[in-house]
Amino acid sequence: MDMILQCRGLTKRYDKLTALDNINLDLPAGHIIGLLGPNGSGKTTFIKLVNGLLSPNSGDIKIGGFAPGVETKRIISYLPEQSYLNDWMKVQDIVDLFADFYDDFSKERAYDMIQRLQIPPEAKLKTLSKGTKEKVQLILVMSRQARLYILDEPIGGVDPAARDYILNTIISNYDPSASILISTHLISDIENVLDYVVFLRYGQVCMTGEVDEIRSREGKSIDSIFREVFKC
Amino acid sequence: MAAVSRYLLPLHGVLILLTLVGRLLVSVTKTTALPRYVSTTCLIIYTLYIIFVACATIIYLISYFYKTMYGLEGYLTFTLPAKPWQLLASKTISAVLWELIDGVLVVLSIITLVMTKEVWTAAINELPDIFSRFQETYGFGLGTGIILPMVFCALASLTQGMLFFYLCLSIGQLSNKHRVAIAVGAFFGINIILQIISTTMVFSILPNSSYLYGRSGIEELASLPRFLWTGFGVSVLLCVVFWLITNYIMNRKLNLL
Amino acid sequence: MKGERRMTWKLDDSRPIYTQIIEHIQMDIIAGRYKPGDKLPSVRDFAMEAAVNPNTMQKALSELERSGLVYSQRTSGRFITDDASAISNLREQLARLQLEQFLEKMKQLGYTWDETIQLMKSISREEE
Repeated sequence: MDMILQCRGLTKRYDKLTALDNINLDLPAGHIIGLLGPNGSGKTTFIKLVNGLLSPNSGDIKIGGFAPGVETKRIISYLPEQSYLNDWMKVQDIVDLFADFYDDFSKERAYDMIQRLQIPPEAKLKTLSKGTKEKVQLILVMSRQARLYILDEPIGGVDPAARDYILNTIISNYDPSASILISTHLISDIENVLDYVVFLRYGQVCMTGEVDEIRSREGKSIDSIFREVFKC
Repeated sequence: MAAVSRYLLPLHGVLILLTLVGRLLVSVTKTTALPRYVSTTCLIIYTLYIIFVACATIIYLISYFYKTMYGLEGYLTFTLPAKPWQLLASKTISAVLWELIDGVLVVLSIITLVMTKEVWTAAINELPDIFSRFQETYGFGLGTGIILPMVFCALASLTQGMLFFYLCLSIGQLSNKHRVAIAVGAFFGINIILQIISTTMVFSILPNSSYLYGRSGIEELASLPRFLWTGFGVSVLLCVVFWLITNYIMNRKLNLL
Repeated sequence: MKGERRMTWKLDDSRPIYTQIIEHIQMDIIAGRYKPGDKLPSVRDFAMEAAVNPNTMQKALSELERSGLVYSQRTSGRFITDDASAISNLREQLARLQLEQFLEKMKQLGYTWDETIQLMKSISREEE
């Protein structure tokens, strides 16, 4: 299996708190992977390290064979949990921005999705509702031909119809040569879309595996296993 | 650049407007006698606005850098496939440009208000004379010897100032808490250190420059160019140092929260 | 999609998805919602319809191919088999499975084979 992401001995500390403790992970290409864990388990820290927004205290990460840098930023398409876009920008401005910076960005794909949602391209971001703004950000991320998509809590705080739209977009944009890493604590909504999961707990990997294999082995849903493992 | 211009353009547009209005008032005052309080108020408003624009510009540029690099927008900035030095360069260039525009507009504005036909004609007539007499007295040109290095100094110190702010903000973001406070602390701390170093060096490296001892007689003007160019060199050196450290922090010590 | 509405996807998340997809498609075939020779949607469209991972859908379809219920033509896609006997075999196979499970349950309830038949007869009489 081709590995899109590999990390060895990855450790990150914030003052006294150890957010990630000696993480060893291999993520396969061509899968939709769930990064599961309760809040504070280190998911967001891990994602920031992969994106080069933080530096590890020790250990290394390789994405597509490269350490986080310009080469990895070209092949990673990242959707952070919070909006990182300037509110006064218009939808078409952001599309142009992405097209300028990313060679693999497809304006046609983006506008196709935008028009199907009936979002006016001249609308300023701040005039859009929260759900619509999140859909726009997802569209931008999924309109790239990346090798690793990273979605941090894409369906949190979003109504069921929007959630279905998001899951649908994820499935329909799936590419066998790429992987999608979805970080979430809302597992039951997303289980059926995942085929590989990584459980993070107190900054350590406590389980990984293929979804169907785990289900047949444990006879339970990933969500139930999650609740058991993370019972407070 | 477009993002920054969004606020700075109207700000300076108002300055131009006020200048024109002021100019109008000045010529009106020549023909009709305006009440004292009107002209005084206008002068006060104008002065306050100039100060406001200058302060607002620099404050805005600094906060813009912080917002787009180390705030929420940093998530976008630092995931773009660009090397940190490219990001730093584009921010620095547009900031220095706007500071220049601000400075030039302020000067032009003041000149526009005080300039009268007499002053203008006098200047036009006297200027070549001043330049040639200077050349005779000192052996080098007023333009190349004094004005040119001053321009370079101004540019270098603008860039140095901007990079210094960026450096302080970058140092601040190294920490997880009180990032702005630490940035401010770095600002004062480094400033003090630099002042100490520069004063010591100036007195030891340029002992002959009696210009520094306050005896600015006509004779002392001769050492001014050397003084200015040295200052320029130091500024450039500081720019490089600030740049290198900031770049290093962005590459290896990024700490986006 | 033409034809009658297919069974809506109800997936139990405590069992592997790909087995459930196989069962779902098998039911659609037996119930005649898929006619022999019908073309199946592409993996991606199918996955979107069922709201599942495309890899999992692919796995299920490959398994159906392997068992002969589905065949693929490289350029045109996947089709339900034309072989009517394969379909009736499947039907019998699934029916047997149901019966075996039912009889096991009845045994657990303490019913003998004859008692079970008696009960079934009286129920069918009630329904007339």
